[in-house]
Amino acid sequence: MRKKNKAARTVNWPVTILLILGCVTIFFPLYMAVIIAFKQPSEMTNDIAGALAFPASWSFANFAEAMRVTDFWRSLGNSLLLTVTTVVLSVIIHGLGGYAIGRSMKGSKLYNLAYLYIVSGMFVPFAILMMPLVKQTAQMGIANRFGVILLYTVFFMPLNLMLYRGYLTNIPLALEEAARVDGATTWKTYWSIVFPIMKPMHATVAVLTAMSTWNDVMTPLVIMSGTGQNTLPLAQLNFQTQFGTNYNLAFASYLLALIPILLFYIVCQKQILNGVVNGAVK
Amino acid sequence: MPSKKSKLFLKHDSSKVLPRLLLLPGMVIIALVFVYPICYALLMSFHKVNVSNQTWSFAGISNYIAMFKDQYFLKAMGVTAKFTVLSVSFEMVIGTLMAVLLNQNFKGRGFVRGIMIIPWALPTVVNAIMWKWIFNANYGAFNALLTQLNLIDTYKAWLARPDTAFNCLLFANVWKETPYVVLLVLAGLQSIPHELYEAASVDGCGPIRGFFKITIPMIKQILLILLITKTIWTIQTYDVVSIMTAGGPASSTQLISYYVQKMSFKFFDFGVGSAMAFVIMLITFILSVCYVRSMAKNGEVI
Repeated sequence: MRKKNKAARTVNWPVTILLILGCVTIFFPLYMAVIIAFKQPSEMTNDIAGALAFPASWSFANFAEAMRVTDFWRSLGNSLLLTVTTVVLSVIIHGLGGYAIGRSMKGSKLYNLAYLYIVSGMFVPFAILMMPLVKQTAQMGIANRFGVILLYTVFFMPLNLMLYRGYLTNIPLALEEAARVDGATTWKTYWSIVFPIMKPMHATVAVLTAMSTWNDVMTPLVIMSGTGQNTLPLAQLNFQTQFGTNYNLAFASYLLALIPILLFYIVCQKQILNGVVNGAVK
Repeated sequence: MPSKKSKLFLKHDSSKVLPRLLLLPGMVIIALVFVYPICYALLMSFHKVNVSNQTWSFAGISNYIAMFKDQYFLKAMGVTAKFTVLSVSFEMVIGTLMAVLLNQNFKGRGFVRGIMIIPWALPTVVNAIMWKWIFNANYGAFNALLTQLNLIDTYKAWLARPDTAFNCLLFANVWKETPYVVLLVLAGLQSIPHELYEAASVDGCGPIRGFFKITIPMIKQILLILLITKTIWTIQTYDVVSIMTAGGPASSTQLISYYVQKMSFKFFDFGVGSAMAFVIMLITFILSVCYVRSMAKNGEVI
C-alpha cells in the first residue's frame, strides 16, 4: 500500500495531464453535438465561445421535428427487431455450433476442417459479398428484414464460434461426463449443463453482436433498400443527404439515434467491460 | 474411413451423430452466404457484364488488366495502405498507452474509463457526420478553435484540400476506433500479476523498462489479435469515407472499399468491381495468414 501511494505521487502529474487531455479529446466533440442539437439556426456563431455556449433555451423542438422527419419510431422498431432477433439467434445457434465443434475437434480432421471453414469467413471482405448477395437475396425473395437477420447471423458466426470454442477449452469435461453417466442425452446435457456454464460467454457474444448489428449500415443499405424500411443509422444517412444543411435538426436526429445505444451502454457498462474482457482473455 | 461411417449410423451413439447434424445447416448456410458469392464474384470478374439486359460475355483477364491500368485503383490501393498502416499504428500505440494509464489507481477511475469507451459505442455513421461538421469550412468547431488560439487567420476548408482531408479522415477514424484497443488491452492488463512489477522494481527496474520488459510481453497475444482484426477492419473502412469526403478531393481519401462500391454501383462495371474486390480479399487473406503464422511461431494458436 505504501509503495502504491508513492508510485501514485511520483507519476501523478503527467498521468493526470494525459488523462485530462484524453477525456477532453473524447468529450469535446460529443459536447458540441449535444449543444448544437438544442440550438436554433440563428444561434449558430463562428467563434469558439459561441460554439461552446449553452443554447438560449433548452427546447426539444428540434428533437420533435427530427423524429417526425426520420419516422423515428418505425426506424427504432426495425433496429430493435433486427438487433434482438440477431442476438437471440446468435446465442442459440453459435453456442450450439461452438459446443459441437469445440468438443469434437480433438483428433478429428473433419471438425478441424469445419472449424477452419467457418472461421475463415472472418477474412472475407464485405465488398466481395455485397454484389452477389444483393442479387441472391432478391432472387430468393428475402431482400427484406428477414434476409438481413439471416445474413447477420452468418456474418457474426466466425467470431462468435471462435469465442465459444475458446471458452469451452477452459471448461473441464467432468460435468458433462457425469451427466452422460446419469443417462442424459447430448442435447439435454447441452441445455442443462453446458449452456448455463457458458453464461459469461453468452454476455460477450450478445454485447459484441448487439453493438455490431445496431451500428451497421451497409447490410441494410444494400439489402433492404427496396422495402422502404429504415434502421436508425440508415435513417441518419438518408437524413444527412436530404437535410444536410440544417445542422441543428441533423444533430438532434443523430442524438436520438445515439440515445438507445448509449442507454444500453450505461446500463450494461459492467457487463460490456466484463464481456469483452472474457472474449479477449479466455 | 468405413469405421467412421458406420459410427455415424449407430443410432444409440448420439454423442457422435448429434454434433454432426448440428453442424450441417450452418455449413450449408455459410456456403450460401460466403462461398457462393465468392465463386460468383470470381466468375463475374472474368466477364463483361451488360447491366441493361443482364447478359454476361466472357472477357478473359481483361478486367484484371483494366484494373491494373486504372490509375484510380492504384492510387486507392496506395491510400488504403497508408491509411491502414497509420490508423492501426496510432490506434495500437495510443490505445495501449491509454490503457496503461487507466490501469493506474486514481480517483474517479471508473468514470474516466466509462467516458473513454463511449466512441466505441457510437454508430460509425454518426461519428462520420459529427466529424464532417467539426471540420466544416464555414461553421466548423475546428476552425473556430484554431482561430481563437490564433493558429490560423482565416477559416480553412479542411475536407476540400487533398493534404488535410486525409488527415481529418484518419483522425476521425482513430478517434472512433482507439477505445476498442483500450478496452481489450485493459482487459489483458488485469491478467498480469502485480508481483511481477514488484519483483522487477526490487531489481531496480523503472516504470518505462517495466513497460517494455513485462507489460508488452504479457499482453502480446491480445496485441496480436488486435493487430489482425484491426488491420482487416481498417482495410474495409467504408462509412467514414463515404460520408466525410466521398473519396475526394482529387481521390486523396478514396479507400479501396469505397472505390469498389463506386465501380459496381455507380459506374455499373461489375466485372472490374469484382476483380478489385477479389484482389482485396486476397490481400486480406495473405495478411491474415502471415499474422496467424507469426502467432503460431510464438507458441499460441487462436
